[in-house]
Amino acid sequence: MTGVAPVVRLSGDVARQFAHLPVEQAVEAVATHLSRFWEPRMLRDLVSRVQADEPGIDPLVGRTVRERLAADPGPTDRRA
Amino acid sequence: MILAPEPDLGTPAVPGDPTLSVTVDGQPVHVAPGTSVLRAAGLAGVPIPRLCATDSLAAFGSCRLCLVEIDGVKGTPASCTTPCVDGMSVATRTPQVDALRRGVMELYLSDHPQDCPGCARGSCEVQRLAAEVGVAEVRYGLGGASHVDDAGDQTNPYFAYDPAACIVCSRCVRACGEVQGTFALTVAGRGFDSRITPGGTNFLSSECVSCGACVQACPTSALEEKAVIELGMPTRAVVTTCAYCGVGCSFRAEVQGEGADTQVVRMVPWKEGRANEGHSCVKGRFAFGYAAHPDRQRHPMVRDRIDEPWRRVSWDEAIARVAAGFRDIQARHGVGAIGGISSSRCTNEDVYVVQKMVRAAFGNNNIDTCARVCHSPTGYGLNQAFGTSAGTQDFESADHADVFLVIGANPTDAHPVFGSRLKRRVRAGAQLIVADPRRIDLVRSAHVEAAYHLPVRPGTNVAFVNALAHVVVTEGLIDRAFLAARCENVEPYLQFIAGPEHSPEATEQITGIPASDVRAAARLYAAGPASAIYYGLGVTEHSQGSTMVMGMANLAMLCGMLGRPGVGVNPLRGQNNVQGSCDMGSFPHELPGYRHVSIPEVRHLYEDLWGVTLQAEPGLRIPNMFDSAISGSFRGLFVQGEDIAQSDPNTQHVHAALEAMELVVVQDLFLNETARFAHVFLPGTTFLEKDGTFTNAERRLGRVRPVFPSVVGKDEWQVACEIATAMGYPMSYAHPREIMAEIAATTPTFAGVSLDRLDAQGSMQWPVRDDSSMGTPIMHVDEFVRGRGKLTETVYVPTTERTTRRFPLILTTGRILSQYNVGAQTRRTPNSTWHPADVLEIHASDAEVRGVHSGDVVELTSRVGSTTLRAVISERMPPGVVYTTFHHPVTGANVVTTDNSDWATNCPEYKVTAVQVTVATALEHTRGVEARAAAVVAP
Repeated sequence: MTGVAPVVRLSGDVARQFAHLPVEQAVEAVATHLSRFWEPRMLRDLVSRVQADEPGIDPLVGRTVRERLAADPGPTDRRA
Repeated sequence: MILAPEPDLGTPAVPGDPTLSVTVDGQPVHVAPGTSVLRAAGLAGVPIPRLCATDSLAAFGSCRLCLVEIDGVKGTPASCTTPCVDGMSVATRTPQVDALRRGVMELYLSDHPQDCPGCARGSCEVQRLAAEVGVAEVRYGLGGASHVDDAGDQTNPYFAYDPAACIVCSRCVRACGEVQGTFALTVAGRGFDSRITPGGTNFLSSECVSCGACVQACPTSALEEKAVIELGMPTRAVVTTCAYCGVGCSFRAEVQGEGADTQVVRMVPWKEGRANEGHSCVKGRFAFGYAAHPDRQRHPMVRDRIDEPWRRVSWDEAIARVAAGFRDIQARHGVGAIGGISSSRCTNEDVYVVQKMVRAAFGNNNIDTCARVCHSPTGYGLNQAFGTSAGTQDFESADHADVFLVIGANPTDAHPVFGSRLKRRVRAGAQLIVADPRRIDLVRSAHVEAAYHLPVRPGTNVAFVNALAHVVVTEGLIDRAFLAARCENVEPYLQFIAGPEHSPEATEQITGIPASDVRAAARLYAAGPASAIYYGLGVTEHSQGSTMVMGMANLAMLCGMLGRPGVGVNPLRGQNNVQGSCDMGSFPHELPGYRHVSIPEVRHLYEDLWGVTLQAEPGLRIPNMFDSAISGSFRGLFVQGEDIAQSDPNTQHVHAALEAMELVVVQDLFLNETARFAHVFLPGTTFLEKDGTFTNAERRLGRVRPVFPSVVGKDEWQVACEIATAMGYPMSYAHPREIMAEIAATTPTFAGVSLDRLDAQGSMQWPVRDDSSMGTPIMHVDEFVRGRGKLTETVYVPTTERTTRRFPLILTTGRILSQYNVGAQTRRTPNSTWHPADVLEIHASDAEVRGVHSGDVVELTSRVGSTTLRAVISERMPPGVVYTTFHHPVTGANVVTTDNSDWATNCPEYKVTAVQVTVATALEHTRGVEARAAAVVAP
């Protein structure tokens, strides 16, 4: 785990839980989770690392960030 | 309250309607069938003298003092063993009964010291009872073999045994068995030689767990607290709530003196306490001395750099320093550069005010709590499944269970009073399944044996629970009606879990549990008819902790084991107010009552009340704070009553984060490990000084009442208010009552809670939706809080922490009976007599191949660090798994634990660390352990 940015490691942990889903559902699940529980600076950090194509980022995380989080970190109301 | 003995009706209450009419000395009384005459007399206001009977124990009928006459019945039966019959007329004082009692009492006096110190003190009932029954002389003389030359047993640090005062009534023996369930005591010898013995050895070396039940049951001073012997009898009592584990026991703090001169003599479990019903453990009963320990800090202190000595300052200066420091950081690095951690050892009122300080005064949501590192997956998982972040049952529900499934919990060590309740139910016939890599005491102990011990390999819980669910589904054991009426996502889940990859045969290689045992355990659980799941940190502290919680919820829903007595999914919470600290809005994404910060109407409720604009985005969690500190965006931290430098994983990482911050403010009782990195130290208060409420693992709000005034001059909620005010956000309350009123006014689940109601009507379990409700012992009775219970496809995803040739063993960590958490409290009491240092438990085969012998100093190494400690070869451990506790900072078990965490909540994966164990041959290692052992704090 040494050398891996925390947001890369933590987002990968989330993505692995949804990797079994069809990809659209998986993207939705990861995006929902990150926007419900992650502090904005962590999301910004993740977005910048994805946009920089940093190695080690889970492909599902990359896709989620590009499709759902890069422009809009999440919906306004994120109740369960 | 003036000290008065708790009412004792002689025999236990019998459930049922009072359908029998009985007359005792002319006084009518109505009782339930099965009630003893002794109890009926007590209820009628006609107490009957007795020595061997007490209402915490089944009737024994040995002392022969409680004899009565009953119309139509021959002789003088013992009232304790005689059940009431409808229409019965009882006479408790007749010439014949009085004469018999005097005769019996004479026999007791003939073998009781005339100068019994307990009788003089008022802690021994013998001479008082002798006077009560009218004994004027002892015809047999006073020279009985009353063991006056027997030195007794002084080995236990908290209580002494004096055989001279003992009347061999067996109350202690029965309490040890019936109440505690340890069965450590017996009577040795016959006649005058009879003596209580803890299994032929002394108390300290015996199986006695020092719960104090025997001392409480003793009607004489034969078993008595050393504090009573030393200080004399207490003069007043304050009913309050224990500050150790999540059982939340009620105690009478029995004290001498008033105000600042108050001396706590003893803590006696309160019979009216709904969580503990008069029972206790060694921590709550005896380990309160830390409150007056010389290490206790009583003054604020500051320093500019962490390598400088502390300088004592006034409260005003300390608070001004905190406020100015935090505002300065925010001015230079942004509003989000500071945050706070609330404590699960503090009251709901303390915690509510701290999260308010962070959200309203700091202006961000960077508030987290030590529940992050224990039961945050419970909050997530149960909320997903049922719609609320709490256990489903009250403790009393366990008395109705037919099958217990205990997963990743060790109740007899970590939640001892609940452990005793559970064992009592098992002794009454309930079946027990234990899923735990260690062979914990519940697997097999006196009169308790688990039907199945499933030694699940650490890190594979989800595969295990899926296998249980697979059996239930594929063998047709599900409750179809329950699923149809009350659950959602049923068919997709059933299809998922029926997959062959979840079968016990397929998962056996993953979990290490024989498939046949999994199948049998699943059938047993499904058969019920009332099956209950109880779980602990062995579930939550995994990379799939939240998934496992949902997996257990799935299993319970499949079998219809929710919404009635004896069933449910029940977390055993680690600290006294973990539930409450979560309820009070201590998570960075939730306002009080588990409402997401993004919900406009909830945010607006608080914005209107608090007069500020609240952030709509989640804040940082504790591990996120550490990461952000190292990366430079988080610079200031307020830590209330949590020793993150010792308790949180990957110690080096935590220390680096703390060192990177500009301002660390620690509020605690002691200069703990975290205080080594602090710039401001604010002294905190013990539970004996607090005023407010704790919420236990069954959602029960218990009153915490001050036994003596704050020794530091302020309450903790007051300090948070003053920091907020000094930061420019005026915040004040006159009393915790006002804080709870604000909580009730803004949180629907607490709407009916007030300190006045708790004082007048007793504890209550949330939700308490209005002033007429006493709360909700069992949740989800007719429907789930979220409407339909949600079945979730719980895919097993292995942890990334893997064993290799370099790190071939798995380390799992836990707790021991006598110590508590990081040991800050218990290490400063004689409880360290039982556990002076953390040790490494290792299986004999793992030890043998490494040349390790019991007592050897070993080096424990993981990918992130290493430490040294002594090894103990233990039959509890399976091959490949080692175990230690984290009670002692000198060991620093978390030096080796990793950054791995639960995917959903970042709860650390304490339970799975790949390690290697080697004999520490280097002399410096051995010397290091010796030196560190010598540095252990004196109790």
